[in-house]
Amino acid sequence: MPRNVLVVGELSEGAPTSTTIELVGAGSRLAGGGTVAVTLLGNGAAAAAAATFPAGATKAFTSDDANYDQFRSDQWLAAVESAFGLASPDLVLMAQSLVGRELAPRLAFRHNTAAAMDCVHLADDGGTLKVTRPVYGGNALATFSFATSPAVATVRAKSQDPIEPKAGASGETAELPAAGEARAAIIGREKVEAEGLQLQDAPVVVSGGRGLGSPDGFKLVEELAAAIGKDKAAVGASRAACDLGWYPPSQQVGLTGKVVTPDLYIAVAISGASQHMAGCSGSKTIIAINKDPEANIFKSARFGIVGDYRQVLPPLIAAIKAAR
Amino acid sequence: MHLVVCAKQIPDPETPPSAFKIDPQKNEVIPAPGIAPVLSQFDGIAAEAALRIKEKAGDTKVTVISMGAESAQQAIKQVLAMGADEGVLLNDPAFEKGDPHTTATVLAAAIKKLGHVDAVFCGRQAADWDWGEVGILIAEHMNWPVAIIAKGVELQDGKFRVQRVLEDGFQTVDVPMPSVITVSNEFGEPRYPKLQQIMQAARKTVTSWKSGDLGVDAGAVGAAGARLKLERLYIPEKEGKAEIMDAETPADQAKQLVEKLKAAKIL
Amino acid sequence: MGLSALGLYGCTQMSTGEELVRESFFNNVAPPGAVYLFLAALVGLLVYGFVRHASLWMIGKPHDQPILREIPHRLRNALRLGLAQDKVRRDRYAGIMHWCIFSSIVVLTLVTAQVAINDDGPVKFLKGDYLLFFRFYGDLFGLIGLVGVGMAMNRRYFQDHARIRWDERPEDHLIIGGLGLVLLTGFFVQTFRITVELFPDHVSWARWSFVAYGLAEFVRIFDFTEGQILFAHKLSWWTHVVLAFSWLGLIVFTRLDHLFFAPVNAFFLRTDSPGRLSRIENIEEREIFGVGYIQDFTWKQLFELDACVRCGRCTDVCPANLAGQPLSPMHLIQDLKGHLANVGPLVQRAGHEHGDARAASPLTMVGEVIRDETLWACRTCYACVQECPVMIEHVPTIVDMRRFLVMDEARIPATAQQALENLETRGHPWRGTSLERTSWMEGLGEVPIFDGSQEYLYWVGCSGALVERNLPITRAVFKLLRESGASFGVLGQEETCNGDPARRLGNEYLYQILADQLVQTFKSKRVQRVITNCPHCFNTFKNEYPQFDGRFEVLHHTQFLHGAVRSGALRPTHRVDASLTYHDSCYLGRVNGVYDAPRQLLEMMPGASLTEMRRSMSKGLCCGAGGGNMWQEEIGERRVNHVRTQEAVATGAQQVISNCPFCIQMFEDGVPAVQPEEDGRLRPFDVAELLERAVFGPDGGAAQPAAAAARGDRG
Repeated sequence: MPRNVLVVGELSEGAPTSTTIELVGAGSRLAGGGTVAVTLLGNGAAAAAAATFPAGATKAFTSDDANYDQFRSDQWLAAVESAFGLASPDLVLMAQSLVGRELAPRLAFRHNTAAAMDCVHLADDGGTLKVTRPVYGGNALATFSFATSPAVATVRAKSQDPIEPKAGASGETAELPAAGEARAAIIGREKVEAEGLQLQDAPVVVSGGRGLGSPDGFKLVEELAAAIGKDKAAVGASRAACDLGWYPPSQQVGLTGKVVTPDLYIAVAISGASQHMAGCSGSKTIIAINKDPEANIFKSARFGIVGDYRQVLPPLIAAIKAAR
Repeated sequence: MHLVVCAKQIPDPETPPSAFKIDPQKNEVIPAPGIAPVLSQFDGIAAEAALRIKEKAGDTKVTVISMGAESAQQAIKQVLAMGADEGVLLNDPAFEKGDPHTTATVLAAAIKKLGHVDAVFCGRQAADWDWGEVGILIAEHMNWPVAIIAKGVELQDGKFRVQRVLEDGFQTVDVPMPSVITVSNEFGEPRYPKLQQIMQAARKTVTSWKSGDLGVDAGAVGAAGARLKLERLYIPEKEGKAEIMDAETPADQAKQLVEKLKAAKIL
Repeated sequence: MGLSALGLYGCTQMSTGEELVRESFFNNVAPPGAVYLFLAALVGLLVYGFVRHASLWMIGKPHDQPILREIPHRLRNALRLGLAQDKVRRDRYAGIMHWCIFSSIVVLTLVTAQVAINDDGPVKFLKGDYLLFFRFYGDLFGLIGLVGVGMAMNRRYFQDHARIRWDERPEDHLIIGGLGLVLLTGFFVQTFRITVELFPDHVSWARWSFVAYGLAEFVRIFDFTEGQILFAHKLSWWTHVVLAFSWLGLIVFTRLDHLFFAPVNAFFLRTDSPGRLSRIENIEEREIFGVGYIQDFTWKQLFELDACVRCGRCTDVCPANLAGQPLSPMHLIQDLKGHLANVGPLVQRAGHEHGDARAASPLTMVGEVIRDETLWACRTCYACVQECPVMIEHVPTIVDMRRFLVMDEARIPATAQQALENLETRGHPWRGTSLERTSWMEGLGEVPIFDGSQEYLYWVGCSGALVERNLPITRAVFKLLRESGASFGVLGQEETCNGDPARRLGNEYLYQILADQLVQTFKSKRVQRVITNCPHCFNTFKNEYPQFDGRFEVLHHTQFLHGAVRSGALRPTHRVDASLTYHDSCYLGRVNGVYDAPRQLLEMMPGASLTEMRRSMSKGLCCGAGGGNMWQEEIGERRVNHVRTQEAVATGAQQVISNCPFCIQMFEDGVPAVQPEEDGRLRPFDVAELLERAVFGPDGGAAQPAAAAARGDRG
């Protein structure tokens, strides 16, 4: 049975985000011949729509109103509601982002249905949509079906593969109304940028956890990242370490922090609580350095060293420097 | 002012992985022996946020409500010990095994029953099911604005000035009252209660409301009213054990690791 | 010396046939009774001083031990620690110095008293042979006093001893200089007197005053007239009397008051174990839990403040102070003493007039006078208590103020708070552990669960079960217990923290809850004998659980294993071949006095050679983890465990052996910092791990449950 899908897309510097492309891909796989509509809001939305068609979208609803650039849920909700009216979706997909976290439950509420958050797996099981999401801080996975329609789901970044781009594909576009009122007023915005490389973009992430024992431990972690290369490696931290004030919260990797999927993830003195693994389990290779051979992190790691990081990191830094 | 804190009691998220078990027949977590349930960490922080407002504003009542089993009294007492004034337990078998929608329905009904409320503070998500929806849905039920994932909340000219955590920084928003604010761990640790407050909290009686008291239709909440049906709950298979470097000294292990990484073309 | 001197002088009196009589008020130095005016003034001053002090002590709360019970024990303490100055002697130089001064003052006071009784009493006993002997020992102790004063001046002015400078005050020069002058003028009086009285006819008698005699011979060189000498006598007499009484008057205004307070404080000293902190009775009905204001201390704690002499011995041995962290027990006591003097009278007045004395303190004691970080830096290691020559008990005082911080104010370092919250919610202090209480049992075959039928409960403890490094220790103890044939069981999943960290961190309420629960569990399981892994569990079970009606026979594993090896139940036959140094944990060693069993155990292992560290036994240095510091970030120049590890490394030993899971963790942490080079690094082990090697061989004997089972006869 065909399924109409509505993807709430997001823009980054005038282009659809990579997660938007992934969602459109997932949508087109689940549509089974139904329409795959995407909404794009904000400056450059209309132009950006073209990039969604090769990714699997068949319709694009856009508004170039720059008032949408900053997410205000009241305004976005109104716009998505208009698109919803036009697309009559059976499934609404959003990213598990600032936008999706707030918009998905609100949209679902207004249509007497439910939103499933932070899904990592979407499947059509004999015509029934089943979504799977990590629960209990990632200790378990739970699969849900929807008793109501339409289904609303937010999806974890990088959990869905984009489809093979359909060269030259195009689709309909339609204009959404300009932004209306919002009850919450945005007063200010502060970007906290890690020096140099961004955590999500880094091909290598070196993270430290509570096992470092003190904020000083991060000096060695930073040294290791520097040895790998300032242009290649960024430094992250577990929530426990951030909560203790040992490292800035902007560098937190985990369920409530950033989700990273680098080629190489080096976890130093991190026990590997599921809540942390939720933020790094998509990494291609994980290396664990931990005193405790029973630490959970070794279950997800490909390589491990059992030992005190204070003894392991200095020679490791030296060996990496020598190898470069 | 009257502030409401929503608190949930959950299985201890710090249960060692080896003790975390699931009953595949019932699709339920089997309580780990000797490990008591705890107040969801984010809810403790939400209570902290409400109490800081109370301290600054003065003349403010903080009510903590929790939907859950009888044992959730413990979570309520914990927030009372931190300085909340009253506690309400929403305990009814009809409320069990619901979804975020049914939970929010029950909580919103209770908030309405409390009378005048200026703000509701929730954790950004409950650390068991990690939905992160209930606060937002309460706001929808009440038709109030919501600010989620706050790392700072202050009362300013009759509005809440909320610092929110974004992926790449922070955002400051003004939210009018009444509203819902969900609080994140970046806010800071909940306070350690003074012993006198612990004693006072122990003596306080917690009000208990059932579906009848709230006027909610038992068929619209809990498992009966859930819009999300749990099909399967399971522990994912881990890839197994890492390849542990077995050289004698840490220095040799480091070299061994670098060799392996080179061989696998990772470095 | 006295005897040989007697021999030298012989019985001069007998040979001359005349008798020496002491003339009262020789030279008419003063009208009879003048001295009593001085004495009356002094006594008046002392009484005034005492009343003033005592009225301040009385603002305190009742002491938790009845002070008039166990009188013989207390008198023994007063004699041993007060009069015999057992603790003063722990520093040799200061011990000799102090004994010289102390004995001199005591004897010379007796000398003066005899003169008074002789002069104004009915019996003139200062005559003949006794008078000669009297003058001899008077001179002798005057000289001894001067030696003491010389040693003190040497230390203060020439050696530049560090401790003396920590809190030096003008009165210190006054005391030591004044005493020197009193003693010198005393000699002058005697010199001038005998110059007139005994020369030239009774020189042999004069020799008994051997110091004054020497001086007299010197004076005689100058050929003064008798009038001149008598004038000098009068002048020195007056100087001596005025100085002596003034100096004694200093007792009221300076640390000289320890003359009385030290022995009395020795009498007040706790008669139970120092490892037992006071129990707050009826905690649920109280409004104040800790000590945040001076009047919340007990009178005994306030009394102690006045006993402090600023000697600095406590600070000298304090691990926090050694690491440059913000705690000096001496300054803490002195700051409290100053605070008592400042606000005590205000509190007294407010207390009488308004009922609520609390408001009277203009400064908050905890927070302003004593900073929070000072209290948190304490390891509760009792090194200060051990060294204090006036028997101040710093640790309970510090914990009382922690109780205020935690229970009344809820002001705690974040990491310590996490440990306490973890104790409350999870029953152990190790937040984020991935281990279970039963993880250590894996691969050990059947582990017997205690059901009341066994003789011993083997208490593993949170650190033994939930901290990776300690699992091998737990396993070693278990295997050795099994091998010894002992009848024992464990609680496994049912173990919870016994509350010790909560009590040391100041959360007495949490401690009482945990202790009450565990006592009930032990009773319901009919536990009678307990073997603990950890000296902290050992201490609280042994010394503190009786406060909760929990009376058990408690052994630390080293004690049990020591007995098992001696009885032949365990045979350490495999060579361990290692040079060792042994670290006394504070709560097995200093607090509970178990120094020998672990050492003997080590010596019974073939191939083990033991070298002591610079500080060992009762002078051993804390590893740094005590008093809840395991769960705190250290503030200061260095870490205590680095200091201690350095001392262990300095012995040149290959392994540092301890008996405490916390100490082992601290060494594991300290060694890489102190010895960056991996080769030849010091390795920390528990006594049990070493014994496991000695009993089972280098492969640890794997898990061989069969061995004990097969023996049957002992099981």
